[in-house]
Amino acid sequence: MGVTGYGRPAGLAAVALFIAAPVLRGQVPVRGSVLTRETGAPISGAVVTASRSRRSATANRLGRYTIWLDSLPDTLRVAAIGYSPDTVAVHTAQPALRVQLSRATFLLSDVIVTAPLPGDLDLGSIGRWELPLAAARAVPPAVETDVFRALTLVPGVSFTSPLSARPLIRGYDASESSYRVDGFELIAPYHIGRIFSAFPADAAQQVSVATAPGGVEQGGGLAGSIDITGKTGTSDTTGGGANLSLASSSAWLGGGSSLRWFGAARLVYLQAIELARGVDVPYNFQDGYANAALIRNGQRIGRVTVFGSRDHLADRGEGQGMDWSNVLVGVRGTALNRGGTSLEFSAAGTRFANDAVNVPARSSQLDLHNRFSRVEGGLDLTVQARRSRLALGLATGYRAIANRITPRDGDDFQASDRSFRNLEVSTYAEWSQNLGAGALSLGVRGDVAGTTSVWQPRARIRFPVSSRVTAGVSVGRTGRLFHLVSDPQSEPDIAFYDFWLTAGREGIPVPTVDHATADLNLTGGVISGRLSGFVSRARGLVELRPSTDQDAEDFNPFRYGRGRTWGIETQIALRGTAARGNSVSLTYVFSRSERSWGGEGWTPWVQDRRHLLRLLGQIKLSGRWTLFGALEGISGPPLTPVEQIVQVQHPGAGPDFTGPRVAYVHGPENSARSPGTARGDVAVSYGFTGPWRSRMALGISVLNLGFGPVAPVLSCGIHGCGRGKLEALTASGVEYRRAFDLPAVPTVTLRMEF
Amino acid sequence: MGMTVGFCGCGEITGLPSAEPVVILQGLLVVGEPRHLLQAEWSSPAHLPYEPTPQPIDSSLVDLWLAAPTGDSTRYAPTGLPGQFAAGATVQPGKTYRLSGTVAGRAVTAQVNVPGTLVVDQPAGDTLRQELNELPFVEVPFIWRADSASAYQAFLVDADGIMYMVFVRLEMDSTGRIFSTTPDTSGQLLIPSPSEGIPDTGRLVIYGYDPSAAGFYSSTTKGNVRGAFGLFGAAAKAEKVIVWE
Repeated sequence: MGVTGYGRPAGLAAVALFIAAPVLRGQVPVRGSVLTRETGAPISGAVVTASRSRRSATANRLGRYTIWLDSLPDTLRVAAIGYSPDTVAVHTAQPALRVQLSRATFLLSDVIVTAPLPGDLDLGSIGRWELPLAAARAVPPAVETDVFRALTLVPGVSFTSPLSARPLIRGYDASESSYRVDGFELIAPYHIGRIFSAFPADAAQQVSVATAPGGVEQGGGLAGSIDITGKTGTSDTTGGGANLSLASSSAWLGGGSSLRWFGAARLVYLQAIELARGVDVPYNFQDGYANAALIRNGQRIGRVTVFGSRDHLADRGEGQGMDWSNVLVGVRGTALNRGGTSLEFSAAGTRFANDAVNVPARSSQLDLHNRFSRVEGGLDLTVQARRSRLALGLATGYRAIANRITPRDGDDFQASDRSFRNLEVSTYAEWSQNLGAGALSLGVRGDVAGTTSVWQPRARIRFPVSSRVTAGVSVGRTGRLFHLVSDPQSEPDIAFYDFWLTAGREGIPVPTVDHATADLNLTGGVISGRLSGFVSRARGLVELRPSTDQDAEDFNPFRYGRGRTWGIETQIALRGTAARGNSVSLTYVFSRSERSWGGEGWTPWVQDRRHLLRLLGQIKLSGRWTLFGALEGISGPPLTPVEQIVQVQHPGAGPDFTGPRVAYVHGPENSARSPGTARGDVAVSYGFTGPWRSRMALGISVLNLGFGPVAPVLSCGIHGCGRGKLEALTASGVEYRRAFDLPAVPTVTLRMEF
Repeated sequence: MGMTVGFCGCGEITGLPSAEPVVILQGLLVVGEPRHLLQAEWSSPAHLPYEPTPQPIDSSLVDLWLAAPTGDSTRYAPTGLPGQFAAGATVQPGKTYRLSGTVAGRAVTAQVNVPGTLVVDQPAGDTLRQELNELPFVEVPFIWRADSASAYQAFLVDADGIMYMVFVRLEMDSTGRIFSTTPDTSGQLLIPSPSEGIPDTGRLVIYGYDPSAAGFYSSTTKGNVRGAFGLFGAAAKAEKVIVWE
């Protein structure tokens, strides 16, 4: 991994200090950290606001902030979602001001707005949502709380069905976003069928969704990034807990003082799960997360993150099965933190492995051998003055990809065997400046591998509209050096397959997306709200050619093309008091997502959902009982209709030949639309004191109360209807049916924390 | 829920086509055959009750020509069977042939590159003597190849002219398939054993398809004809006589 070249960034720091020096005079920088009172964990995204100086700052991943005050004394107000805000008076210059926030009754409505004051130089809140774990727990779970499913609280995120935990961000496939744990890249973090995320909820402190373009420090995602921040061990004491549900068990433990540590593990074992129609096979998985943080003088010097997951489905040795695993090791620390200058270093290695024998995919059976590994080391330098900030970053990594697919039966896939190894270099620079009461940042990011490069200019601005309304605009380009191609509608198949391609080689295009997004935030008072708009134009997208594509003159299993999306998201919440704990949130999204493949005209993307309506509510019934409810209605996805039926004549075949004889001719791609879907979920939570003064929580929930169908419609017949092969044709022509039926899913969980 | 369905405006599928029947052409040039058949039929619109009886296109509406690489053109003439036409020509392996003309007033074009000669190394010889056993299939190893062919298919034709699929089991597989689209050209044939009373000889017919024919005979039924839907493909062919003993 080898993080080298410290001298060079130090030189950069010196240059940056020289640039920033003139604006430092006459100002008082206050640095410190924002931590949870219970565990001492850093609260990323906490907003520190100086009331006299009318400035604010946002805490970084290590909980650190730097705010410049006009003069002393001043008063700092520190706030974060899911925590009771605190106020600190600052009378003298202090070397490090540590603020601890206590957890508050979580209100669903709080998830909406994270916008700090306009003067904050951190513009990352534009197009970003922060979800503390309490938010994830408020979403009625299926089997157990899932950090990806909880993203249903974010308007810009949708899912193909309740069976999927793949978050689709603003009209792009889940494989076009990046996934991170503590800021480190993670590949395909899913368990069986992508129904569950691979990260145990009990190990998560918060999840953030940053829609594109985001800050220049973010790379690897075309549509956005989802970052899971792990918990931290309890300060000066050892604390832990356990969680039991119908199918899983998990436990966590943490503690320490100068070396703060935390670990969590989850086990799931299912005796039988339906791999294909009528084929039940055993399945189990284990995943775990751990971290250790080194603390000096109350400041976090560095942190090591370890994550691993392992899935075992059936038995490959007996002719059918799938095994996959994910490993991540990352370290991040502070090499320099002086004045307004900080230098952080990071290094990480990640590896994903997937081996499958005879697994169903579309109407075929496949063998798979996938490997994806990456090591990276990087440096991030920040120099902050009173009204400006310079951020520079440099990272280098090595990515190795092996992707072998061997069809056993069926002809949906061609055999392929790809292997790539790339040395990658990423760099970024961003200048942020206060402009009156607003703030502007301009930056550029470059990702380079060999002769392939993607340069991504980005700009963000935030300004006040009134005392309670803030506006933010972000424009810029995202890109990446590889493609991860998945089936965008894989349910109800529970096995999954991916294709990895290196961009810029063998005619495979380099994907880039130009984004513009705007937020209007209404904060404070009983009503809070957020109105967002977005538009994007994409080039160089890659998709698996759908089975309804009947053009025999194109033999490439992949197709290349452009994309365009736009939409409006509105989210309004009525916020109760922390004491009463009642809140309700209403979300409406209108969006469009289209693709143009091979220079042809624009067609709706296969997961284009025009209307999305969500109603989320939370009622505190008593001191111990809390009721959560969710309703979701969403337009159906497009479908490619069957237009004609033909009889295939095999060469030399007579009337007695019994081979396949009837075939469909499909109409224009995605020219029809499936009916909408709707569902309701409900959950109730009962909190009480357990043995040894532990905090216990009993949760009962029902997912999919049966308000309506939840699956998209597919045509039945030649290629099957959903999972089964149904009768081809009926007296009224080709039949269309829901891909699957999902019954109500009851869940009981019992949590204990000590 | 009522609000949601009304909101979505979509309690039913929207945008389903109510199309008229379209022209379906199926023509395959076979190396070594003296004449090449082409079937012209109307499709059955998907929104109407399915009619399993083919709807042939009247020969007066079909004016199609087969153009050889030399520039010579041969007309597809009616064979007398409903919707069936034939062009007499010697098809050369590795050459490009074109289809052009009109069907029901619509201009139709297509072209195909004919695969190279199908060379069958195994089973060797013109005649395959096969011992009968109690199993429903007889396993016969095969090695074959035709340049630019992208899929292979095999049939058993018994003495009465009745045709059966021959399953192809490639070396890397443990499951059977009737249609191979992999570059592997060796494996095991699973030839159906003749039932009692069936004549003791048959023909093993092997086709090596060009990519357009492979696409058309695959489960996704890909077409390469412009102006209509269907196939103008080509195949290299080989035959073996099977004598059951």
